[in-house]
Amino acid sequence: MVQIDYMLMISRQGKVRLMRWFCPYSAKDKNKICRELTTTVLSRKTKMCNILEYQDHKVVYKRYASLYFVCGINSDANNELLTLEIIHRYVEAMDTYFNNVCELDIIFNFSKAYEILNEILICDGAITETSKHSILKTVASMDALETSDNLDQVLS
Amino acid sequence: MVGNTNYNSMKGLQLFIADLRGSLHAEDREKRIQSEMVNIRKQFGAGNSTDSVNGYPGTASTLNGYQRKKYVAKLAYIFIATNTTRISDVMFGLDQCCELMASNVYSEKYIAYMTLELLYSNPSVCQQVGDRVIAQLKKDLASMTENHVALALNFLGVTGKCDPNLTHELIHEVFQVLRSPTSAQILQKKSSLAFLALLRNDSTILTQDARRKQLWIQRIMGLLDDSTNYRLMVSVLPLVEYIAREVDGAACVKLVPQLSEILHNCIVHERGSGRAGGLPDSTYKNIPSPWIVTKIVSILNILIGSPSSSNGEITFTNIDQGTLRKLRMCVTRAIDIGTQPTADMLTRTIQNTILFSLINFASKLDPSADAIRNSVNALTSLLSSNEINTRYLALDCLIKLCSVSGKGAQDEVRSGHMDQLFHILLVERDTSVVRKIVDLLYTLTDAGNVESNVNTLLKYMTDSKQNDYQLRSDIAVKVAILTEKFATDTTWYVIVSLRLLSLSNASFNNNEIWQRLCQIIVNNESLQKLSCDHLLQYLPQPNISEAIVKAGAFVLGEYAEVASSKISYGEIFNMFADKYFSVSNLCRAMILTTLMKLYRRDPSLVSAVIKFFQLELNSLDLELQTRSYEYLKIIQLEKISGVKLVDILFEPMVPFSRKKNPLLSRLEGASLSAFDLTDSLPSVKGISNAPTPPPTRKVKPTAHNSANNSQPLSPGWRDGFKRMLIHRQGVFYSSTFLKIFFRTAAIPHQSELLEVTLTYVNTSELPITSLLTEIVPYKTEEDPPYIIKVISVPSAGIAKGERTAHIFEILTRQGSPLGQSPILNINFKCGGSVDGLKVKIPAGITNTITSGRLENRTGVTLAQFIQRWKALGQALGKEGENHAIVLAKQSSLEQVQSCVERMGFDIVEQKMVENTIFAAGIVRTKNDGNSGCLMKLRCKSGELEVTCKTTQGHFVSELIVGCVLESVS
Repeated sequence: MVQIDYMLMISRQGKVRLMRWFCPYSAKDKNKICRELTTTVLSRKTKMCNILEYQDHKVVYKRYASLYFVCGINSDANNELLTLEIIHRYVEAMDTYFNNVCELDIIFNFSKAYEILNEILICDGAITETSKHSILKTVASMDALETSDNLDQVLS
Repeated sequence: MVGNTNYNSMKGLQLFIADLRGSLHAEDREKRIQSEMVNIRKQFGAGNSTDSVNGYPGTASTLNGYQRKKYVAKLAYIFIATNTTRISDVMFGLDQCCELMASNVYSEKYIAYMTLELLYSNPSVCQQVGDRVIAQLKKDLASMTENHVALALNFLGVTGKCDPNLTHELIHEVFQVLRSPTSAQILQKKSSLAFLALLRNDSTILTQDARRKQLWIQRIMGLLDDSTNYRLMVSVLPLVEYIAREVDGAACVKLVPQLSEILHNCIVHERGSGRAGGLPDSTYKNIPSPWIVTKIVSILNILIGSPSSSNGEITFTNIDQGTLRKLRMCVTRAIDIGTQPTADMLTRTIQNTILFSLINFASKLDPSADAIRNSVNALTSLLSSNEINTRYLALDCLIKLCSVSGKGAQDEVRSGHMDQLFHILLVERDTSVVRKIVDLLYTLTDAGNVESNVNTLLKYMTDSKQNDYQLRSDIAVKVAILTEKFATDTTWYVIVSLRLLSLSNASFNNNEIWQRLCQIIVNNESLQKLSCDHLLQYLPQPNISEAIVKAGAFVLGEYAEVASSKISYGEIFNMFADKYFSVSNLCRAMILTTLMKLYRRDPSLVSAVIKFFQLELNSLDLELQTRSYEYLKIIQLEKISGVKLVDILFEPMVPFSRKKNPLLSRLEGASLSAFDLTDSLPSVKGISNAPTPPPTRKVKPTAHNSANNSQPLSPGWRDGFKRMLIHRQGVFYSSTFLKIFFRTAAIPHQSELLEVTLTYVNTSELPITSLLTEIVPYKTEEDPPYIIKVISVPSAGIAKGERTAHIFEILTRQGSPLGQSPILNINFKCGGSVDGLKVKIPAGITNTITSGRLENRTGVTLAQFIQRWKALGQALGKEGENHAIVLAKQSSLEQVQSCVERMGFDIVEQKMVENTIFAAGIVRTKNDGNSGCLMKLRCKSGELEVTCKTTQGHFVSELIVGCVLESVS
């Protein structure tokens, strides 16, 4: 079982761009994890393995352009590859949605990034949907809904 | 795909983000955030007062939805941009956030939910707005607007684990969405995971209420029904897994055949159909869906115990042959798939995911030597992959395989792949991978290869540029354990251990290693001289590691006399005095004690020793100061009193009695059993590795299966029960939906074994789906009276008017009362309604009866019967007899006779005694063998009197009478 405890998106400058905690960590722990993982992950060389052991669990990360996607997973779960796959799906979905996604897209549209993430995984990394098309279809219908909401507002 | 290009942006928010990005200095950013906070506070405050609105046309007394959304979004951004450190600063916006949550405009609602998802894990947030949030969630879950329900479910899925109140207040609502057949698929999927999140929070909601548990679990399992709908399955499987592991594993066991079927379909059948696992993406063509595969494997792993398990879980022996064959085929197929060459990275990843998860599972299926060899070969071939993650995981998988499958797999790796492993160790740069390879070598070491493995590891420690101290220290501990465990040659043991100590450096203080070495030296006299000699060679070297100095200080202090032929006490003293100033305080303290011990042996050292201690009287370290002061006092006292105090105070070390190697505690989870600190080293070899059992569900050991007698049986079960006791075939049960026929047949030459075939016929107007059966024996542990082995399970769906067969064997090990018969649970769905049957299958001793007629053809004559009856009476007396009288419903003698005859008894042809039947037969049990049985049935005035004698005494007689009475009454 993929059990993702948290997912962080860290920029190459070490800024956290997005985070999702699936486990109740205390604010102190969250800070510590963010801080330590930022330094660890950023200092790793490109050819190194994407899995590392950290505290009592495993961390799987992957770099896409200027962003590092970092997931903390339960060490009982032997699904490191699948976690990479989830990250990949997420990136793919955003890439298609934003049409060649870059860090700026995510910064300015962080709420969209969260929305897409919600379509892919909720509840400690159990994947909700595996098909990119269905994910994007849902997100697009949400967009349409928003647009019509906005329109209503303008008209009223 | 992009709906619109501006993504419905909020201009104010975009500006704010741009401003923050534009400010180069931290102070500027901080200023901007502060000014924005002031603004938002004012705006939110303005909502409550009437006059202080400015610059926002259209807001009279309150904010409009759009503005509220914008400010909440800004707060959320501030929260993210400051790495969540500003929780207290954004708390003031919570009320407005809740306000926004109640909006009917989707985008507004969404921003509120998103912000709360970020903040809700904080306890103070829960406390402040928990009630309002729960009330709104309730409303949204019941909403007719699908999107609102979806938002609420997302929220619960993400934050469900943060607040137990969410579970108590909302789990019923979520379950309603989950179970409702009218829910859209996307809602069902989301609700399944939201339900899981809530359940994780507090699973007592299910465990406390047995009825609810049964109903809900059955509903949830029903969702797996549609075996073509993999989309839904992907989200339901994690829930099923959680239930299997934490809530009620026993209830899930019956899913094994169904899950195996799905797995088989995914891996073996779906290839080439382009639909693999319901994933339309072309990259998945020809590759099974990894999500489904890994999840099913993970559930099966929980449900199926390892072959050596004795907890009464089901193991491969309890699984019916058809299912087992399917599972084994899946493993073979996965290896094929995993070793196929592909250029595409993505495909590669998926192939490997499937391969790793199935190989890890394969050990549960009692793999053949061939199967193990194939697994090992597949994995080792992946070790030369270019992809570092693959190498890492292949090693990880090999470790698991070697520790779970035990010797077979280990020998396989040892025999052909050690050189490859050594090579990887020497060329690999990445610590994660190196760590894995070290673990693997550790698992693979035995008495045969300990020297080469340990030498390779030591060589790695000497040569490698690797500076990961944690790793080096891990290797050191492992080498220490391996040398101790497998050493056959004491000289080698000492040399290697000392070399190991000499390699360690100050940055890892593995006190356990030298302490352990010292313990062993103390307990083994033969090592004492040898280690002294070697230590004397190490110690004079400059910059020698402190661990060596510590070991030297202790060992030479204790056993200096055995080395005194080569070196004088004075020289030893000088050697330690030299080292003294280059070591840590702890080590210095040890040296002080060693000096004392040297003084004890050679009193001529006294002046040098006193000088040394006097020097340390001024030490800044309290321990050193105290120690030198005390030692000085001892020497002074000796001088004054003339008593040799040191002889008493520094007596030779007594052997250690601690049994457990303290090093082992450093390797939590490592797969070695603790071994004794024995008197002589060579005897510690040859203790086999205890494999770490893979995770399985918790099994509560009980005297007998509580599921067997927990709930009432379906009405009318008794007729079929009786019928099966008497007849060889007939109707077992019929309900409005389902009719069950039975046929029983004894296996030739093995009459303690009864094969039962149940045929389920769908008599309803609709198809029956998710037909799951489960046979619950009275007990499965502690010498069970019978063992049930399922040969084939019925198929999960039966079309209208169709039938399916369910075959199993009952092996009678020893007799048991009919009341202890197994219970057959049948669950199915028909036309949307969930139904279940609970009936008993007779496992009586008369199942095994064979008539004597088969053997001596003629049957028993009355004379023979009487003769044997008397003989038995004489041999066993009343002990061998059982007697009972009942009111017989079947009044006529003929009816009783035909009934007894059908059961398999031999009727004695006679006309002499009226109203009486004499019957004979042989019952067989696996444990107790054959038992002859004679029976007298007398029918008189509506009463039936049964007397039975058997060669095995009272107990068997009683059982037989029980069966006969059950059949005729």
